[in-house]
Amino acid sequence: MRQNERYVLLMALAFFATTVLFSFNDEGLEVYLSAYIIEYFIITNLSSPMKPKTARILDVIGYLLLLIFAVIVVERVWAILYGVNLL
Amino acid sequence: MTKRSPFTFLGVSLLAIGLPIALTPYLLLHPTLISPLITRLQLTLTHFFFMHLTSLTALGASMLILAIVLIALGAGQPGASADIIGMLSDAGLINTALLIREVGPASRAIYLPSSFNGGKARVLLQSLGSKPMPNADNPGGMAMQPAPKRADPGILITTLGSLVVERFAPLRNEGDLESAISPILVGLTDLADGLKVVEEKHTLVVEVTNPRIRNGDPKIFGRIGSPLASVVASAIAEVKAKPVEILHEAQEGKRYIILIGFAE
Repeated sequence: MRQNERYVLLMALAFFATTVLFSFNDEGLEVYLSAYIIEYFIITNLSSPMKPKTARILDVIGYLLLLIFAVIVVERVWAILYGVNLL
Repeated sequence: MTKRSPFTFLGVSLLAIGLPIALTPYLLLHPTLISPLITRLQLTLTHFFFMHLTSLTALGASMLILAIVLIALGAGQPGASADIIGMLSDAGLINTALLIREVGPASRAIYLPSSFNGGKARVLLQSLGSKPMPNADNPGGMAMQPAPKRADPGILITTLGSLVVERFAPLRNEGDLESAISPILVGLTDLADGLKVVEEKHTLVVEVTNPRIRNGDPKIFGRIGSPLASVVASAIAEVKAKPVEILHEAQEGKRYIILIGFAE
């Protein structure tokens, strides 16, 4: 199996497993997204290096996902601080 | 005409499916967003998915991420088919081998690291014959140049391996040889599924698993080696920063065995 095929298959399996497992506990969307983003970074790093053009696009996707992850974390931190009336 | 990669098609298809799936729960919760004609269907679906709306949106989001990843992988695929690229490479190497055979029988082909040749990885062909070598002022192509650190003159040529090393340089030279070369063959060039290197005293045995480049009969490539052996030899020379030569290569089932020796 080629590295690209292995990469896509692994990511699809990880995303599918996450969706199924988290759906039992009725988790919030941000939990799913955080898990997908972490899985994306782990699997992408395990499959590196990629071809230069692919790597450049994956880097852009990585930055976007990191931004989403940061927003989720900030929102959670904000909720915790607001929840205990620190702010 | 360039060939579209299957990854691109799959990515676009997944994007087309994933987007509605990710948005469905929101459309269902906002009746004004969709046509009143499907209100009944909407109510049924809302009832069915009500407890699993988040899962559905998450599934759609995961499909979108996967779709963009697939499009990225598709963008990295070559336009021409692998067979044509392999044939072009073969034609170039066979012609070079024949040309060199006509000019004078080469005794050995030494893969030089880039540090030996002003930052460019090249293969030095040393002739057995005592023909006077032409003056080598031409830096490009098959320039005749005096062999570095040697009394015998030789020919410096560019092979597939030289170009691969130049394009994907710098190679990591810390750690073991296998982990340094493996990313080139498996990830960057997609030439094989795996690589195993056994280091012996003066030689290296490289076992390439499931190579995707057609190597044919190694004899036709002469001393330069097959395209795959050329990539392996160039990468080893670069990582070890030592000149090497291909001593032997053979296909054994799904494995391709290459014996590399350090040139003295």
